This record gives sequence, C-alpha cells and structure tokens, in this order.
Amino acid sequence: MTSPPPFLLARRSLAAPAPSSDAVTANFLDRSIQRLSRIVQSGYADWELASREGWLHRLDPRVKVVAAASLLIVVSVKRTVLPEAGIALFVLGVFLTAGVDVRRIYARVLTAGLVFGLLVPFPALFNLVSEGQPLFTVARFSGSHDLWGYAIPQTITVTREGLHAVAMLFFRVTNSVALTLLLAHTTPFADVARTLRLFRVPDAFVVVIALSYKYLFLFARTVEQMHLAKKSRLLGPVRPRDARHWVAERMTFLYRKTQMRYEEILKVMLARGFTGEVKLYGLPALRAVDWSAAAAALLAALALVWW
Amino acid sequence: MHIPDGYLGPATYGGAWAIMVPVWRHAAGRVRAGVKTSEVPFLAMGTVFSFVAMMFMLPLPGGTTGHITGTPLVAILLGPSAAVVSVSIAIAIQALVLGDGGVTAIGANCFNVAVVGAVATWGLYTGMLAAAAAVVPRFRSAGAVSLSARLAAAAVAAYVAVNLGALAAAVELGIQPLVAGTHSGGPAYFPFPLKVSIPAILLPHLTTVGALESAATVLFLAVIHRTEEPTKATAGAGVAALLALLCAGPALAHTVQHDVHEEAIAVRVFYSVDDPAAFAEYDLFGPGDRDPHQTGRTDRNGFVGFAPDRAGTWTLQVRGDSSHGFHGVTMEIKVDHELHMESFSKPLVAAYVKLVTGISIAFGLFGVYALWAARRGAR
Repeated sequence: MTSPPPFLLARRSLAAPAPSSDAVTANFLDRSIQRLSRIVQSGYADWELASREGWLHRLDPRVKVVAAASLLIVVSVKRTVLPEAGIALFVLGVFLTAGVDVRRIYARVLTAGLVFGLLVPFPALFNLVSEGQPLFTVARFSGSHDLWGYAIPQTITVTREGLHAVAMLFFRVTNSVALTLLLAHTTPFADVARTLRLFRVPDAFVVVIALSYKYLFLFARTVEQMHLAKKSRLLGPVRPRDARHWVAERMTFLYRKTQMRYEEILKVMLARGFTGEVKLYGLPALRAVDWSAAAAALLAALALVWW
Repeated sequence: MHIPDGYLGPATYGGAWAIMVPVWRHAAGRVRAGVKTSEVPFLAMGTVFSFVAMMFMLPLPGGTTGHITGTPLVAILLGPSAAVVSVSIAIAIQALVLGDGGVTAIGANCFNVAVVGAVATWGLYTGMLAAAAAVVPRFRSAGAVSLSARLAAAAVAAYVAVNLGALAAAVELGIQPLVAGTHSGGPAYFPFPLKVSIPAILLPHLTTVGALESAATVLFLAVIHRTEEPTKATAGAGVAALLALLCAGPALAHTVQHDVHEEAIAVRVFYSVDDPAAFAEYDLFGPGDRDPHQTGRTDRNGFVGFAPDRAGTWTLQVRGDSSHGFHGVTMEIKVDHELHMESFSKPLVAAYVKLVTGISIAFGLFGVYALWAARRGAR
C-alpha cells in the first residue's frame, strides 16, 4: 500500500490568517449588525408586543399618554430626593403589576441611570465644580492649584449639595426612562401616534410619524441584510478605504431606495383615493375604567407635586 | 448623544418647546408649498433616511468605528424645511421608541440638531456655492459649480453646523446652575457651569465628531454625485471654495434664490395633432448618465422643457397613457458645445407618418379589393 502524499500528512493550522496591519477586519460589519439588531429588537419588537392582555394594556392610550406626560413633568419639577424616590417606587409597583418583563426593562432603566445619572455627573459630587457643605474628605494636597483656568482646591471633599445633585439626576433619569419604557411596553405605537392629536398635532404629522415608524424598521431590516450579505462574501480583511467606500455606496443606495419608495407610496395612496387631505378616525369613547385610571393618575400627580 | 430627561429644567425645556412649535409649523408649511404632491410620504421617507443613515458604522483610523447623525446630509439633500421636520420626527421616535434622548428634552434636542444643525448646514452650503458662482465667472449658477467645490462647501458646512449644534447643547446645559437651583443653593439639574460644559462638549465635536460628520457627508455626496454627473476636480474650484468661505458672512442665504434663463429646449410629445401626451411621465438622461438627469410629467400641452448643461446626446423617454391605451417613446436630442440643439431623432414611423399612413391605407384598400374579387370569382 502506497503512503499518502506528503502534503496530506503535513500539519496545518486551521486558524484564520492574521490580518495585515493596514487592513481592518469585518468589525464594522459586526458592530453595525449588532446595532441594527438592538434597534429592531428594543424598538419594534417591544412596541409590537405591547398589545398584550394586562390591566395597563387594556387602558385607553389617551389616558396612558397623558398620565405618562404628566408624571414626566412632575419628575422634572421636583427638587428634593424623597418625592423622586417615591415616584420610583410607584413606577416600579406599576411595572410589577402590569405583566411586562420587569427584569429586562429595568436592566435598561438602571443602565441609563448609571450612565447619565451617575457617571456623567460624577465630578459634581466633589467641591471641584461648586462649593458646598463638606461631608467627608477624599484627597488633600499641599496647596490649591490652577489647572487651565480651573481651580483645584487644597482639600477635595464630597459635598452635601453635590451628593444631592447627583442623587436627583439619578432618580430623574431612571424615573423618566422607566415611564417612557412603561408606555412603550403597554401601548402600541400606532395608538400613541393617534393620541398626539390631543396635543393639537396636525393629522398630517401624525400620519408622517406612523408611516416613518412602519418604514423605519423595514429599512433597518434592509440595512441589516446588506451588512449580512457583505459579511457572507468576505474571505479576508477589508481595507479601511474600501470599507468606507462600501458604506458610502450603501447609503447612496438607501437614499435612492427611499426616494423610489416615496414615489411608490404616493401612487398607492393616490390609487386608494388619497386627495392630500388627512383625516384620522377618532379613538373610541372612554370607558368607566379609563376615567377611573385617569382620575387616579391625576390624583397621584397632584399628590406628588404637593409632596 | 441627545440630552436626556432630567438634565434641563422646566424653564429651559419649556422655552425650547415654545420656540420649536412655530418653527415646526413654518417648516411644515414650506414643505407643503414646495412639494407639489402630498408632503406626507415625502417627509416620512426623509425621516426614515435620516434615521437609518445613522445606523451605518464607519471604520475609523485605529480600528474603531463611529456613526454619523446624518443631519447635514439630509439638509443638503432635502432642503432646510424638510430637514427640520424629518430630523425632528426622527429625534422624537428615538426618544419614544429607543429611549435615546429625553421626552421632555425633545424640543431642545430638535432645536440643537434639526434647527441649528440643519439650517446652518443649508445656509453655509448654499451661501458658499452662491459666492463661488459670483467669484468664478464660469460657474453661472449653483448647478454649474464643479463637484470638488460642492464637496468642499459640504465639508465645511457639515463641520461648522455640527459644532454649532453642540455649542447650543452645551449652553443649554451650562446655564442650568444659573437658572435653576435648589433651596440650599446647589444645582437642581445639570450641575456643571458653562466653563465646564462648553469645553467638555465642544472639544470632542471639534476634534472627532465634526470631522467624522464632515468626512462622511463628503464621502456620501461624492458617491451620489458620481452617479449623476462626470467628476471634474479643478484647482480653481478649490480656490473658489476657500474664497467663498472668507466671504461667507454677507453671502449667507436664508431664502431660496432664483434666476431666469432663456436657453432651454422644449420637446412636445403628442399622440396626434389634437391629442397631446398631457401629464405623461418622462425620464431625461444626459450623455453618459446612468440615473435620470430630470424626471417629471409633461405639461397639459405635452411639453417637456430642460436646460442642457453639457454637449452630447440627450435621451428622453416618455411613457404616455392616452384614451386608447398605453404608449411609450424614446427620442434622442443632440446638443452642441454651445448647448444649443443640433438635431433630434424621430422614430421612422413618426418621421414619415403621412407616408406610412398612406401606404397602410393603400394596402388596406388593395386587401379589400382582393377579397371582393376572390368572392366574385368563387360565385
């Protein structure tokens, strides 16, 4: 029996060839795909799944939108920590009884709170930015310094006012994001758009918003497919210049596609009798449970304002 | 990154809403007047494009990636009014659907991005093009400015506009300690004063974000213009763009300019002498164009008018629908170097319609006679 040829016996590495220093991997494709997936999942999927059966889902969208808007304003006008903490507990209670995925939603709420409520205003804790009543010392220097026009004091302390400011920002951000997501997960977007008429938004604008929302995710899907198609055809690294040109060409294609889609949509609308005037059907009359919920929300908002 | 809820006090975000409501009304009115068909699908697609444009991740030096906002692009492509409305709706959808940016801060975010960003882009871009046309005689109109000059203008406009929007956001945040405080005297909202907020927000935009937005705008416009007209980069155009930048102050345009020319070619399309191809769709291709140079519908008398901007053979395709069915025609119009019509082609049948009709009638009469003669012979 003859032995196999030497090239079959040679050990080969199955690892992908290392990219050259002037090439970029398909990282930008992966990041784009992840970003698009997040947008489609967190945006479209959440809104579309908002038509579930829960006590909050069954309420009239006008009550929910007005209640959410009122509470958002209350959150923004309160200037002490205790009412904000009360609002946070109230919203959490509503979440727990609403029949939504509390854990996943609150992961987003707390992430936003940590980033915008804690990380960004973190330097405000100290007496670096503004004076305040010191609570405890963090660092002590030999003397005060001037750094590019900014005064660094001799003693850096955490101040009461700084702690209050950061706590207020944290609660405001988390409460606002929680209220927005509560509305997003319990009310279909189409109903929210129609409710804008309460705020005297013209019907044409409401239709633009609804159309945009619908086609937004269609085009997001198109862009995702572009990136997946490119990735499936890549055998090696891509030069940065080529990658940027590819992105520019795909954006051009997308621009042309939106133009073409605009003309098609217009023809379809004209074919169905659209005359340029937009009139939307109204929402059904409020039921007793809707009025009760509206009254409860109003009382809660007033109580929080006076607290 | 947009301003989240909780950073601006009611006085600031309320004031922003109060400014934006009349701005939105005005912009929507201008779009309605400018778009002859319904503005609804036009604005919706503009919103979709401005939203989806920021989904593309651009590879940057160093192996990182970044994304653009797309506002300068939308402003240059759609105009300031449509950009204000489209970008505002995109910001609202981002806030409500994705939680990117606050709901109470929608007014402020729209002011910074849609108004300051889009209007500044448009004003700077058109102002520089108008100045280039005034400085360089062969640029008779903004449409004849070379591609390199347009790209230079777009780059400068995008960079400046993005930084102006960032400055507006920095000022709105930085004044919070001044306009709103707690009873104990500490900040009630965004805690950093102007001397912190302005450099903190402006420095990244001046160094990275503005450059990225500018580069992406130029890259995209270069690709889109490449599909519409031949690329002609001239050194003179670059100098013109720089001079335009220096003269940009008095030349800033805030309204649409116009110029009336007599040099145009009119083509009349008709089915018969008394039956013009009224309101028929047409596409006009210039020499070497892959995408139409001009599209639209003929007027009620079947006329198509266009002003050629280069010599060569222009192709006009008309798709008409008359009382007796669907018709289409393609014709070629030769334009000389003086941009005057040299000749045009007609389909053979159309050129000799009377002769062809006469021959057809003659054949028809002969056919009738042959049939009568055959039946008479059979009897």
